Amino acid sequence: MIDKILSGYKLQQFLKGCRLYLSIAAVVVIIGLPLFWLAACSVKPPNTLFSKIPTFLTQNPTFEHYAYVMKDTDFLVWFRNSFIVGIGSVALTVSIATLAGYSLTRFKIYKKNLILYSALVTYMVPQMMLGVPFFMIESAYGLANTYLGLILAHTTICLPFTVILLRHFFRTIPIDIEEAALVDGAGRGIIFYKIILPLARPGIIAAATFSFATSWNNYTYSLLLMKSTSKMTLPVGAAIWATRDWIMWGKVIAMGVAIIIPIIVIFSFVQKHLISGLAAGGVKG
Amino acid sequence: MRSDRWLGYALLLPYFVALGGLFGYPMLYAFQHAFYAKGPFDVNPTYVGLDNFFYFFQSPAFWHSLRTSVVFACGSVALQMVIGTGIGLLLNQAFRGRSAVRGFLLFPYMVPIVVTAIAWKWLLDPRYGLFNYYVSVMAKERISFFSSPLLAMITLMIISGWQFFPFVTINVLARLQVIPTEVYEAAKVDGASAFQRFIYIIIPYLKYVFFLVLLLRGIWMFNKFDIVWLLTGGGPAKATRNLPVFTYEVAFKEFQLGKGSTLAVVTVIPLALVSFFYIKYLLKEE
Repeated sequence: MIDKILSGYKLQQFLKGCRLYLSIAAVVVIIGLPLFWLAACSVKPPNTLFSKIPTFLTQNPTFEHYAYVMKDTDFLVWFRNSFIVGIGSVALTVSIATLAGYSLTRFKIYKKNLILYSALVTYMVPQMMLGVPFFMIESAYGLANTYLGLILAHTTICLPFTVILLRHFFRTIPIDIEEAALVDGAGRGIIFYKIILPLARPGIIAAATFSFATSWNNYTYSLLLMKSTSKMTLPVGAAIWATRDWIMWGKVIAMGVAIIIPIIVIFSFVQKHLISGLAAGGVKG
Repeated sequence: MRSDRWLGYALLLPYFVALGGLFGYPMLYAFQHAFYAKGPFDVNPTYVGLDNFFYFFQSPAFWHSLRTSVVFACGSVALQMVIGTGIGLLLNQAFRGRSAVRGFLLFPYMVPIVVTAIAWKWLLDPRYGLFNYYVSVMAKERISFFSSPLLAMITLMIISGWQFFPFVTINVLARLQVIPTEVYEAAKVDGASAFQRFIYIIIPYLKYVFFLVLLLRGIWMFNKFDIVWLLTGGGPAKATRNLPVFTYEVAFKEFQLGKGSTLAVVTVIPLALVSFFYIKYLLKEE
């Protein structure tokens, strides 16, 4: 009799476990399918790619699509542009946000909460709506179609969440170290540079990563502000190929995969710091 | 800490300059130019008063795009909240490989919109897409996902759901993690079913996060330009032309920058008001 009870319970647990792992598997498949399919297709030779019956993995993988993209499109130019704008946006954003985040943690600021919520309010402004005056102003000042112009635009997206993110990280640094150093007579600048920054490094890395990804991925501002083919960023260039009436799928698929590879590489290096940072209030449009 | 108060403000100065120069100034600029007309061949803008506003209030295209924005926002947000919360609850449980799955979760949110568009367009392609292969095997027909207005909108919502649900899941998970397990245990001991546990424990804890996320995703989906533009370009016969796409066409295809500014103002001001009151209400709850 005890056996019967035991096996009934065990069966129930087993089924519960099955249901759980099946759901998880389903989630993983849904998340991963579009991109893994894209990657798998990017190495298929054209006749396999367009064959009537799709196969998951091909017998003869080829890199011809990637070769074409690198050589016969402006991909590498766009890659360079995206990189320059990305680094610039990160530099500008992180420097401003580090100072601001530190200040909001360590100093008494009038209406501190208001300042923080103002960051949230900036995300209520749609990119297309801010883009119109941005375009007009930058055209008037000759900043349109320049790297600096686009860097400024990307900073508007990256800055608010980076400030919130860094403030969260600075808060986790105990104040005793600073106070001890102050008592010992160290200047505030030295404290910041030699003590605070190293301690906040995970936060700064997370901030830099998110900002770079945000800038790298951005389409709207890049579309509005960089018009010439030689200055375009990657998303804009790839979109031109992907929205034609007749799409050259082999090349477009390879482009798609190539755009996302740098992001994957960067993220896999800094994976640990990210989820906690995002949940702490980091936001993106 | 006390004597160098000024330093705090000094450190914040770059941030204020950035906010003022990159948000405040453009918004004021747009507000001013909303009352002007600046066509493609105008060197200088001409003052037209409220003409632009009247033009749009009488334009069926404007109201259509507004309606489209609302429809798209509601549908896609509902989907994101349901999927996001469901997966959040799922990932709240303990299982092997949980942190790996959670890391993987962030994936769709970090994919550039272009790549999402390419990947899904390829998956759904009528001729070569994977989905349509299975459809053709089962139903002997192929579905063109972007040719009919209704289907295009639904497809857009689903793809947006795929891209943005991680934002909901992460915030829900963060909140769920805070609930101490003793509360669950106590409820189980008291004989509460899983469903009852959900209603009486989880929902109250989630309420604040839920409404905050709802507001954010609602506003962001209302304002979405890139995913709509890249997938449908405004839809079959303008069916999915929401407000940002409409603004793009007016300002950058017809080169009417004055009218574009008007649209920007008309969109942002009600949104700002709504969010202001919503956030005030949320702050009280917290």
